[in-house]
Amino acid sequence: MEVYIKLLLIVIFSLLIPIGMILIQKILSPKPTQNENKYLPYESGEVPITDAWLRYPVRFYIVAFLFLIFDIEVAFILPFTVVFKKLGLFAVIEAFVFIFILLIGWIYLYRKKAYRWE
Amino acid sequence: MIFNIIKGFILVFGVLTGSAYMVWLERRVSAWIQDRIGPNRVGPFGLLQPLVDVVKLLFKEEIVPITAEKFIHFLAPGIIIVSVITASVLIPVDPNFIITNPGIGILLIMGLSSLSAYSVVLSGFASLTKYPVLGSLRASAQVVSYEIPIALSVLSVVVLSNSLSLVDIVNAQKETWFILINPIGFIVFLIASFAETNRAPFDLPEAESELTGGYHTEFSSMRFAWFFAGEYGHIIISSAVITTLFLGGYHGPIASGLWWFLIKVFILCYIFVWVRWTFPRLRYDQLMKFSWKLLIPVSLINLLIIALVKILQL
Repeated sequence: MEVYIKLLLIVIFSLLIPIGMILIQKILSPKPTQNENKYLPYESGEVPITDAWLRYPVRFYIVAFLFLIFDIEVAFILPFTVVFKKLGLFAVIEAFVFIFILLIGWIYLYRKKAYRWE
Repeated sequence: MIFNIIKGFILVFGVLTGSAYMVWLERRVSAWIQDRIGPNRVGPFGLLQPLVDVVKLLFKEEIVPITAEKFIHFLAPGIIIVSVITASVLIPVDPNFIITNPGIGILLIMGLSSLSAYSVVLSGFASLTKYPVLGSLRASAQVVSYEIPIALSVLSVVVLSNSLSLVDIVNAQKETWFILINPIGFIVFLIASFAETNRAPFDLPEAESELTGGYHTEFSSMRFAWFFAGEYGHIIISSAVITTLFLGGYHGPIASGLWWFLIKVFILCYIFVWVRWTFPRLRYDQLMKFSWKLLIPVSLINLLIIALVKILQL
């Protein structure tokens, strides 16, 4: 428990550093001028015309789904890696089966062209 | 308790000044590689350049674009610096210099490095202008794809050490470093951490020639400085984690201690800079294919082999 109180103190301390520096900067920096063009979005000198919310490829959603699958798998393997020494060879064989099924899933996704970016 | 607080202060300021001097190292080494001179005006060998840069940024006006979400725009640079500072305290740098040793140390570090990805993603969507939005879209997919190889190669180290605590992992490497037993894990971790820290050849989120500055285009003054410090601090943290997991931490051939740790971290930081100025940038489809088609199956099979070797040894 003591360990996590220490960690909490460290997080609070590390919050103080950026806040303090921003306060110093507020005092030292010049005051904002009344030129509106300065606060327009930067687009290499052009006047911005449309909203920044673009339509983006559906590939990004697929990557998010793939990440969920594989990350949950990592979360399932994690307890195995800590205790497999006590459980012996049987646990390793079970992990083999688990990861083997995942590799089949990986091949299926490969064949379905889920990893392609065109 | 007081002693611990002083140790914490030393570590935190070590990481912050270290990240400032990473910028100096990067500029000097890139100049050396490209046959230029590099910063050499302020102080001997330009050593005072980072301090002057920070002072200059303190005197700059803070410009927030009119499209920005004010609060998140303020929050994004803070997240990266908090995650870097908190992660720096968890790493065992010397047997007598351990501040906290939580039982799930390596998981906490992985969690904190994912948290700094939030800062990249939020900064783009908070400034709501085109270059940052594109940059943070790329960053989110990239970080997500390279998270899995990192996690799997960390698991292969945990199989060898049977503990999630960083001190236990270091002490398990007293005789043989894990890089000798688990070289594939080391290579996968190194490559994936180039991508996690948004460094070349995987620096698509902030590709200067395409997106001007990527996700931090709309940040100026001290907020920009925090992004810079956070990014270089992340490199130092990644080097320290690689040292702890694969290169034996503070253990060395003659006498173990802080010096071995610092030497190893410095060599890895140098490799980060060296790689950036040697390899050209990948295309985005190549980047995604590299992770999904090569790194993930390789690290999965590596994990199985390591587990099998470990269990048959007994």
